[in-house]
Amino acid sequence: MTDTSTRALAARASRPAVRPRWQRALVSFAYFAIPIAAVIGIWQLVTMLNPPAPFFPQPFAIIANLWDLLFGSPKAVQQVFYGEFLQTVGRMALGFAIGAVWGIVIGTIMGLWRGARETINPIVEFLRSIPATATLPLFIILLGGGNDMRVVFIAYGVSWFVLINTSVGVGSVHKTLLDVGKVFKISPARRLFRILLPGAMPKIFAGLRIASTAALLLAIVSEFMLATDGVGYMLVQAQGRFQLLNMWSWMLALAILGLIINSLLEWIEGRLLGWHRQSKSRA
Amino acid sequence: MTTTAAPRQTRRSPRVGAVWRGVAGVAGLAIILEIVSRSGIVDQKYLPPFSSVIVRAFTLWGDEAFRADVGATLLTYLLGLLISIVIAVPLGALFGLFNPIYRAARALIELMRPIPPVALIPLVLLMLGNGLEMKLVIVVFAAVWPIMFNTLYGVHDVDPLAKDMARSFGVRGFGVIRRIVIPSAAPFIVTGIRISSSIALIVVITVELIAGGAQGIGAFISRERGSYVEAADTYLSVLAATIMAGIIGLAINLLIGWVERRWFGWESSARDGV
Amino acid sequence: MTDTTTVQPALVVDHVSHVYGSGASAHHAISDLAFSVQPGEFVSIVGPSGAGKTTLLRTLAGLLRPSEGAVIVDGNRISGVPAGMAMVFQDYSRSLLPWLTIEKNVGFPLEGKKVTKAEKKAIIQESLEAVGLGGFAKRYPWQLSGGMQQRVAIARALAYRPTLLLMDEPFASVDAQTREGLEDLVLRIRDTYGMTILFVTHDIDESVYLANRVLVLSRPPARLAEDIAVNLPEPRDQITTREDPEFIRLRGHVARLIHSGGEPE
Repeated sequence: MTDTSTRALAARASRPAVRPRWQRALVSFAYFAIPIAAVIGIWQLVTMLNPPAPFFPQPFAIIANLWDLLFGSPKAVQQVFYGEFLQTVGRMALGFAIGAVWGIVIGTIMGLWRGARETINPIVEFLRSIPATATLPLFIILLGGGNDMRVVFIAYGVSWFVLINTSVGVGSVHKTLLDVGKVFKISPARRLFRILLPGAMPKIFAGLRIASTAALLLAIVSEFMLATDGVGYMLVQAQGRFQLLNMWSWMLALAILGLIINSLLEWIEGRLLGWHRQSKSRA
Repeated sequence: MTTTAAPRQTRRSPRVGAVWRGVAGVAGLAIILEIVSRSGIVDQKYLPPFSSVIVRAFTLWGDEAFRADVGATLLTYLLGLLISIVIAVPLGALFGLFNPIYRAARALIELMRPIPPVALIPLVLLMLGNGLEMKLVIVVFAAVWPIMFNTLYGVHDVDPLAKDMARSFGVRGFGVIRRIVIPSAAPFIVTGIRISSSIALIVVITVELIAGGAQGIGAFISRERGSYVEAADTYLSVLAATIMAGIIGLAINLLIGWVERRWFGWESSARDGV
Repeated sequence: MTDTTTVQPALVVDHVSHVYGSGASAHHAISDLAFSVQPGEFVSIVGPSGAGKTTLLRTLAGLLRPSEGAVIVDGNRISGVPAGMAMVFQDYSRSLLPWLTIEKNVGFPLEGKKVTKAEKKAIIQESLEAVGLGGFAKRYPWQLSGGMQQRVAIARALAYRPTLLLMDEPFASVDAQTREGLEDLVLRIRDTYGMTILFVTHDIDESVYLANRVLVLSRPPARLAEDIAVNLPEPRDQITTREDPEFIRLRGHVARLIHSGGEPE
C-alpha cells in the first residue's frame, strides 16, 4: 500500500537511489570473496617466502591434502570418506534428531502448563548449567565407549537448547490465537499442531539452530575421547603423530561441515518461516 | 478449558506459588532418585543415592586441592571472559557504526564462526603446550562471538529518533555516542556478556577435560577417571564434581542475570535470549 | 401450516454472575445479568470502561464458566463453546494466523469439519467477497491494513456459517473513517445472512447506530442498567440516521446512563 503522506515522500527523496540488482549482487560477492582471497593470498605468500613454519602450512597444500584424504587414492575413498566424515555426520544427525524431539515434547509440556513449567524449571535450569561436555566422562562410565553412548550424549546436550526455546516459544503464542481455536471448535489436538506449534516455530527453530552447532561440537568432543573413527578422532590422531598438514585439513573439513549445516538450516528457515521474517521487517 | 483467571491479579501470588512449585519439584526429584537408588531398582553402580552424592560434594569442597582446582578454573574463565570483552566490544562497536567495514569482515567471521572451538585444541596444544595460554586462546575464540554480535546489534540499532532528539538539543559528535549510543547499547552488551560467560565456563572445563593439565575442575574429572581406585567411588567423585561445575555455572549465570535486570532492566528486548 | 408456538430465543442469559478471585481480593465483574435475545436481533452492549463487557462476552462464548447462572443457546444450557457460534475479536492483529494466507485464514474454522474441498473453496470465496476482499485471497495478514485484517476476521466468522455472532469491540482499534465502512458492512451481513448478532462496544454512537436493542451495563459489579429498544428506520445510513432526532435522543439517553455509572437518573 503506497503511503503518499508528505513525510514518506520526504524520506524517499533523501534516500540515495538504489543501484540495480545485479550491481548489488556483485558488490555483495566482492565483499565476500575479496577479504577471503586476501587472507588466503597473504597466508600463502608468507608461508612460501619465509622458511616453512611448521604450524601453518600453505593454504593450497591444506586444501589439496584434504581432497586427497577424502577422495584421493581410489582404495582409500571408501574408507576415509565414508568411514570418518560420514560417521561424524551420522552421529550428529541422529543425536540431534533425538534431542530435538525430546526437547520439543518436554518444552511443549512446559510451555502449555504453568504448573508443570514452574515445577520442572529449577531442575532444568540446574541441569542445563552443567557443561554438557563435562558429562562425557559420566556417559562413558555409564554406557561405555561405543557409538550408542555418543549418540545419547549428543542428544542429551542438544535437548536443553531445544527445550528452553520451545517452552518460551509455546508460551509466547498469544492467548487470542488459542481463543480463536476454541471458539471455532477446533479439537485440542488440532489446536496443538495447527496453532501452537506453528506459532512457536520461530523460537523453536532458533533453538534448533543453536542445537545444531552444539551437536557438531559434542560429536567432535565425543570423538576426542575413546574413539575409533570420526573426524574428531582423525584430528587427535594427526595431533599425536605431529602431522600438521592432516590436522589443518581435518579442521578445514570441520569448518566446511559447520558451514554446510548452517546454510542448510538457514535455507530451511527461509522456506518455513518466510512469513515471520517478512512480517517482522515490515513492523 | 474454561478459565477463571482474573484480568489483573496482584503480582505477588503467582511468584510465591512458583517458588513453592519449584521447591516441590526439586525435592520430589531428589526423593525419587534416593528411593530408586537405595531400593536397588536401578543398580547403585549407575545411580548412587542422592544423599551420597551430596555428601561427596561436601567432602570435595572441603578438600583444599579440589578448591584449588575450582579456583584455577574460575581464574581461567575470568581472564578469558575479560580478554573477550576487551576484543569484542570495540570490534562490535566498529562494525555496528561502519557498515562497509562489517561487510568486509563478514566473510571471515562467517567462516571462523562455525569452527567448533574444541577442534582447535589439538593444534593449539601443539603450538603452545598445555598451559594457561592455550586455554585462553580457545576460550577467547569461543566467547568473543556473542559479545561482538550483541554489541554490533546494540550499536547499530540505536533508535535514530533518539539520536535526532539529542542533536536537536545541540549535542554533537562524540557526545551523541557517549550519551545515547553507549547507554542504548549497554543492555545488549551485558546480555552478550552473560551468554559468553556460560560459553566461556563450559569451554574452560571442556579444554581441561580433554587436554588434561595440572589444574582445574575438568582436569580433576579427567584425573579421577584415570585412577582406577574403585569404580563406584570414582564415579561418585566424577558425578559430584560435575554437579559442582553445574552449580558454579548456575550461580554465575544468576549473578550476571541479576546485574542485568537491576541495572539494565529498562531494555526488555535484548537479542539472543537463550 | 404456521406454527403458533412462540419462537425460541436464540440466547438466554439466566442470572449470570461472575467473580474473579476470592476473599478480600475478589473482583465482582458481572452481577445477576438476565436478558434474552430473539433470532435475527442485533443487540449492542455498552458500558463504562472495565465494566465487565469482555467478561460477559467470554461467558456467552463459552470460554468462561460463570460463577453463577447459566447461558442458554437455542434452548440448551451451554458448557464450553456452543456450536453455531462465531466470534470476532478486538485485537485483529493477534487473531489472524500470520503464517497462513488470507484464504487459508478464512478457511480455518472449517478445519476438521465435514466439508469437501470444493465446498470449502466456495465458502471461502463467498465469505471474502461478502466483505469486499475477493481479490486478496493469496496475500498474508501483515500485508493488509488494520481495517482489512478485521474484515478478514469477519469473513472467517462468516465461513463458519454461525447463527450467533459475537463481536468484542471489533472496531475499537480502527481509525474512524474505516470504522464507518465496517459498521455498514456488519449491517449488510446481518441482512444477507440473517444471523443474531451481539456487539460489544464502548462507542455510544456506534451502539445505537447498529442495533435493534441496546443493553447498557452499569459500573462493576455490572448489572443491566437498562434495556433500550431502538426503533430507527432501516436501512441505516451513516449521515441521515445520525441526524435523526430519535437517534440523538437515544444516544443522549445512553450517554447519560453511562456517565452516571449506570445508575438511573
